[in-house]
Amino acid sequence: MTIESREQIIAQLRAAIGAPYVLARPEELMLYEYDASALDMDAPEIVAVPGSTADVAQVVRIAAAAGWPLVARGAGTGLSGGSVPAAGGVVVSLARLDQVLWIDPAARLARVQPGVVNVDLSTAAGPHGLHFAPDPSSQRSSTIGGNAAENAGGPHCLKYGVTSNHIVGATVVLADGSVAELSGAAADAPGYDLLGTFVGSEGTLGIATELLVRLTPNPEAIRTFLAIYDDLDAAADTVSAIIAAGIVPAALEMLEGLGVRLVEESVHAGYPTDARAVLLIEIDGLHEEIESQAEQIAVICREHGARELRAARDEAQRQKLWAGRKGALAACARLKPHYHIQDGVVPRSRLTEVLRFTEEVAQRYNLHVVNIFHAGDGNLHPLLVFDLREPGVRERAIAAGEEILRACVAAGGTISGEHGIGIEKRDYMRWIFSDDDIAAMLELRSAFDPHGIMNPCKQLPTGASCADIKQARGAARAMAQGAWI
Amino acid sequence: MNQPDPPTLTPQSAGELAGMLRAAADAGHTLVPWGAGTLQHLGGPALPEAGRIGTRALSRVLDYTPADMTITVEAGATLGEVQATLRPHGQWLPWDPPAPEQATIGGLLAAGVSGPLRLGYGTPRDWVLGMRVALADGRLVRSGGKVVKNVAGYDMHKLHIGALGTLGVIAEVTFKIAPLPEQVAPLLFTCPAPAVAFALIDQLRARPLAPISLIVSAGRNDERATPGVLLAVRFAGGAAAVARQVRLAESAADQLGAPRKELDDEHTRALWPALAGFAHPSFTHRNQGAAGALIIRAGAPAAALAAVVEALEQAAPPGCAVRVLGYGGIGLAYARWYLSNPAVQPGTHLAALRARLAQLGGYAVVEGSPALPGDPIDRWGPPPATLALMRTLKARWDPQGILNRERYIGGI
Ligand SMILES: Cc1cc2nc3c(=O)[nH]c(=O)nc-3n(C[C@H](O)[C@H](O)[C@H](O)COP(=O)(O)OP(=O)(O)OC[C@H]3O[C@@H](n4cnc5c(N)ncnc54)[C@H](O)[C@@H]3O)c2cc1C
Ligand SMILES: Cc1cc2nc3c(=O)[nH]c(=O)nc-3n(C[C@H](O)[C@H](O)[C@H](O)COP(=O)(O)OP(=O)(O)OC[C@H]3O[C@@H](n4cnc5c(N)ncnc54)[C@H](O)[C@@H]3O)c2cc1C
Repeated sequence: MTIESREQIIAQLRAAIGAPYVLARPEELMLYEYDASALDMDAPEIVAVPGSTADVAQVVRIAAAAGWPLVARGAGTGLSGGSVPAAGGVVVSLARLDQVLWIDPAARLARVQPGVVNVDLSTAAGPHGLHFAPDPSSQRSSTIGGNAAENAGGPHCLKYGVTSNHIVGATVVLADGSVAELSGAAADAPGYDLLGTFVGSEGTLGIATELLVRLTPNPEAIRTFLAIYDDLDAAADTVSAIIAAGIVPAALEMLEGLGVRLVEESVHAGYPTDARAVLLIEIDGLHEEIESQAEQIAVICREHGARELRAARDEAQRQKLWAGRKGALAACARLKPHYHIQDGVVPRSRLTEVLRFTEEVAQRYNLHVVNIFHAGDGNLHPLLVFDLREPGVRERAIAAGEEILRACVAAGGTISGEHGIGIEKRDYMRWIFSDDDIAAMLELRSAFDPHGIMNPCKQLPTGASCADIKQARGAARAMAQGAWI
Repeated sequence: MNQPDPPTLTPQSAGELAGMLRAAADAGHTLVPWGAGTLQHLGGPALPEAGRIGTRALSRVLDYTPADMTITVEAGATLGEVQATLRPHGQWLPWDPPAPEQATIGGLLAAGVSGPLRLGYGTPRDWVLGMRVALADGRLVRSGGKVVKNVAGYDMHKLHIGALGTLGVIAEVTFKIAPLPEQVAPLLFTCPAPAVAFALIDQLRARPLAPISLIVSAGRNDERATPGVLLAVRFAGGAAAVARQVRLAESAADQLGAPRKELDDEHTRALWPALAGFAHPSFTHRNQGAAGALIIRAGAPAAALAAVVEALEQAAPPGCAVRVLGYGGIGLAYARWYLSNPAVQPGTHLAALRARLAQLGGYAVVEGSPALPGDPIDRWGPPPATLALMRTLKARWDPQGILNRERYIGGI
């Protein structure tokens, strides 16, 4: 990419969407170098901040004509490097597309722009007794577009399903700059389920500029418990026993060991600091159902060795218990400033065994591990905590994370339950998929994007080309950064 | 069910299935993926020279640990066989399509059929975690996984759901499964007019009510059916919660003047399979016309259901009996136009119906038709704007077009 072509593209973009919405100064671009994973960084050449679907289409057409890569960006809270511009090019920030366009309470649908922050949609739907069910712990900052691109999860996915189950349609700008409507409000319209494969495609198949989403009625009654354990197996057994009893809790989360203490010290949620593990259990539904399930859960917790079971008496207490869970990642910063969070999934019946393995691995690599995760789904989040100033610690953390993910795969699970593959786990895809599987996925990708300009070097291992880009860009960046200082 | 001929190819393993596809692709033979044959009426007719590749021998349960609430089965297993595996553990796939005992998992998914339970439990798409699919060139590819959450790679399996086997032959499927509800309570209300039924549907969807099925049955010139419009409802869950919902539903119906209709146990048992099977050609109705029934599926935004049901009644050829089942809360409706007169050509009526539905944001697809002289029926209506992308995708995975050639939308 020559300087001239960059200047030309900037000029074209400014003419197309307005000069203030095209960022090109180094200090402006620096803000778009990273996401929340912090292990991969790379700067874009240009950031465009379009204000409409038509704007996005123009940006894509301009970049496509020049053969430049495009990377959509929501809030940048991704944990796998998805919105890091690994091959440079244009970052398309969806920050200005932040409107809830309409809510239809009778149909329980909302049409939103992709930059709407997750929790803002539920706030907007609240007066109608509705909410958006997917609730990643980042719900106060992550966007619906980013949630759809990652097929985000969250504590309440156990009962309500992941983001994919709540997206009904999408307006998408494809790699050639055309605008496509994928599915929509009419049930079972004929044609391939392009929407189903777009959700979770990590920005590699197109840029969503509007989403039609399903809203879920707020439950009549909610009950939230904290079950406290001195023993890890006891906590894990309780998880299985609740499910075996035919109860599908709204959420079933575990905080383990060190995590309980860290969370309590920072959030003061009322967690006992000496517990080996706690379960945060939430049930919802009709009053009668809640009553009988609450009784069953109390019996199950007691029978499976809970030291104590505390029920939130009111909404304030409930919010406090949840603040502990949702603030867990931040709380771990009290121990060490950096973390590498993994996102493996195992069959529920293999939970304890893999949990113990994470501890063993952490010990071996001389790292701290905190396990705070979606136990009901078997979705582990071992959080390896460290200080990047320690020499060699980054490599140790990555190696430890890799061992843990391998154990998840060996137990019959997978390498990502909700955070996506991004750059981080791209090369691990071969652990679970054969060359044929990956080739079929690449063929799918090329049907949407024949020239490979949409978020290249993400999600799928593509052989040598991305490694070359990485090296070339690394050298160019070292020079460029020097020049900027 | 429709056609007695046995499949010509009967692979005994997924690997053999893939190998047979590769051989067919090499030889340029077109093939019809064949489960139990219960849904072969969907889509365009198979080419006369097309052979069949049957999956029924692939019927093993590959993996089932009840505590994990997932099951992996080969695609040739029938839904009935899968439910029989799950039931002793208090679990089920909450899915009630037509002919569940005969139809295979692969065929049901390829056909994209759901059933009245979808209001409460969503469609099979929401329950499929992963698949292994044989592509036309003999590659056996996997997507998704065997655990309840997984975002590694594209959800390619979603593309095969409803694709009528045009993108590959489903070999193996992993489902998330659900606990059987403690209780299921069915109710039937007789409504004096469609407006009453739709008002009742709205009330039955208001909190705290959470019906798992809401099926409205209306009709025209249908003298043999019960007069008025019927609304069939089911609630599921714990006994006390179900009991309160039944009470609330009855009182809402009372106030609207829609009395509850008591059915004896036998009729109650027969009712739900009949509702699920309504769109199936094997469903026989006392009003069956001389020429048979044109079976139409129509979809639209859920709020437009009343207008869709009305359109399906009004657009039918004059004089013919019509019965419509509408899925409350979903926006899906099935109609049977009983063509009493073999001379009636329904083409223009279908076009009028589509024009009306388009105004509502909907569409209509013909799922079954009697053999009519000289009136080739447009099954699919206008294709979606994304057809070109669909064609490209088909060309990637089945470049020679050996799978179900010309049977899908746009002649794919
Ligand atoms: C503290 C914390 C807690 C978290 N908890 C959870 C959790 O519980 N569950 C969970 O699933 N995740 C969680 N995450 C991860 C992250 O929040 C999610 O992945 C989220 O969905 C990303 O949204 P975003 O708007 O930040 O997207 P970004 O990070 O900006 O982008 C993510 C990916 O989506 C693509 N993208 C963004 N917008 C669009 C668009 N409009 N069209 C096409 N592609 C697009 C990007 O290119 C990129 O590949 C957490 C993150 C943090 C920091
Ligand atoms: C809403 C509904 C629709 C049904 N549709 C059909 C159908 O089209 N074909 C079929 O074979 N079975 C249908 N059934 C199922 C049918 O009741 C059972 O299959 C039963 O075993 C048939 O026995 P029968 O002919 O003696 O019915 P009957 O004893 O005459 O009827 C049983 C009950 O179902 C009602 N009913 C029957 N057919 C219809 C219909 N088409 N529309 C509305 N109400 C009907 C009757 O009014 C009566 O209340 C339907 C049932 C209901 C309640």
